[in-house]
Amino acid sequence: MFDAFSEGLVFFAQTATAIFLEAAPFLLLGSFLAALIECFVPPERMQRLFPRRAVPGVLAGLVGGLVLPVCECGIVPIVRRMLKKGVPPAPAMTYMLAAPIVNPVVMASTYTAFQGDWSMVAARTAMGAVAALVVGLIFSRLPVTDILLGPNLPDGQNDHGPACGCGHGDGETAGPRGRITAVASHTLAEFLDMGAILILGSLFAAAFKTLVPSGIMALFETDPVLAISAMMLLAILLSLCSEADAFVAASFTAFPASAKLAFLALGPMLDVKLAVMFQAVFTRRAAAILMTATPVLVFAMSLALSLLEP
Amino acid sequence: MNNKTGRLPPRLDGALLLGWALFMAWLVSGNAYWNYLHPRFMPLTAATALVMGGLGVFALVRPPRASAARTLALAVMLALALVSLPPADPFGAGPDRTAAEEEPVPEDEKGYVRINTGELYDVAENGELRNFPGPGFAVRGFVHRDPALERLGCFGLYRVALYCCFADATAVGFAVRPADGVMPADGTWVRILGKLEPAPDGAALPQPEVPGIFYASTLPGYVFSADRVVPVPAPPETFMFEWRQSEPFAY
Repeated sequence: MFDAFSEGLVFFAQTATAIFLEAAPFLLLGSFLAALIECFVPPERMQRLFPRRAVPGVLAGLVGGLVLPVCECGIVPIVRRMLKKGVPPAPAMTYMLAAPIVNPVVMASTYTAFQGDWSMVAARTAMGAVAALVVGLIFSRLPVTDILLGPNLPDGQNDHGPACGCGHGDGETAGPRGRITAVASHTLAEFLDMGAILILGSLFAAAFKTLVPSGIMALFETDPVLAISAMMLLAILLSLCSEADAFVAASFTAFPASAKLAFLALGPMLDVKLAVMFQAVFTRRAAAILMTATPVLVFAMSLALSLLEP
Repeated sequence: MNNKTGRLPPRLDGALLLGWALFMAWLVSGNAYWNYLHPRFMPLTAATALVMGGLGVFALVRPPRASAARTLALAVMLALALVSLPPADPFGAGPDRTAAEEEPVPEDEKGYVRINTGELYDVAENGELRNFPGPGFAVRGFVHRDPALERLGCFGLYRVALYCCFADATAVGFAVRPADGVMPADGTWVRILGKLEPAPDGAALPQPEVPGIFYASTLPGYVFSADRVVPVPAPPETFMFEWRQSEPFAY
């Protein structure tokens, strides 16, 4: 019994460590980009980049995902910074959901995993884009104060200053050395904050893999509704990187394509790590929208696709 | 709390980041890396170790705002990383690993196409078996004995595919019917020589569970008729990291 516990603990530790090791570089990159935005992009310039009106705004957010792809592990700190800089919620939230899925790297990995099946690439990209656009439109009706939690409110409405350790407000950002120090401080603070949340998500995902019996997925593969639901739940719980998830989806050979697409479309937009990050950065209302509207949309689209399957 | 103790947790953040940087550097420089991540990520992990180390030093010199929860999370994660050493290797690798890739091709394999289970799975699924008219394939993997397969006179032969990290590993393999009817022991590594053929009468093959693996794919509709089943040591890397579409296959 002790041996089984010990084996289980090592398996859990190895899985959690692997997830953290895989995600850490991307979170670091996201933290660095967020720090660059904070230190070098004035709010008015950031605001000029994105239209304020809802429809052009969400379309701009979608294009942002294509031209500035960031994986889901690093996207939340960037979007938090964008919102703090005054970017309207519609493009910012659309960008957050679209960037990890509607991007060339993920399209290429999906193409490779499904051995050149363009229909899977197109369907995955389209499902991700539609879900991001619709959720972005929902957020266009909310003011940023209803989206970001208190300490994350836009510059001037939060506790940003000498206490955050970045040097802002105490005259230390002047000159190249001061700027480097400020970027390092912001990168460090962002990485530590988000890293702790990532760790929590990694622990949840590893616990799921350790505790759930192997082979359980085989119970759901025949019925389309069950298959889609199970694969969506799996996407949330496994918290895979969007660049690798297509290979895992392709290995679920007995599942219908619609269920694989549900897995592929939802995972980059909502998983355990992201859910924990959403709770830490956004208000309960905003987190609830992200965690309900996105899966509902993906489920509806997958179900519609399943009707077209032979 | 005075200023000195007040600065302790942030300095601890710096020390923990340095600890993580050292762990990553050790992984990259040693042999355990592939137990966590696909080897293609090595440069990325090395760069991350460098940056995290730099940030750790920076945090020691210029401590960030304190957060006990944050420090605790980093400490727990680092402790778990250390607990995971040596990493679990549940797929048959033993102390007698040999550098199989460096060994010459065994005499009895001459003429056979060396291929891994994932690649052969794809060849069959894509209907390309007719492109390999020779004596057949040479494949290696670990044995999984399953009662449902044994009723058909077969055992399962699998490799574990690791796409990005240990968390996404799945098993890929097929049913093997040995010509002499002798079943190898469960969990051992074997090399098989033979042909992949359609299952008799289109029999639906069972999809057995493979212990320690969340999901296993057993090629439906085909059985590997093995002329020879030879016990071998586990390869240096038990996971499959690479699939190729044509010869030479990754094996």
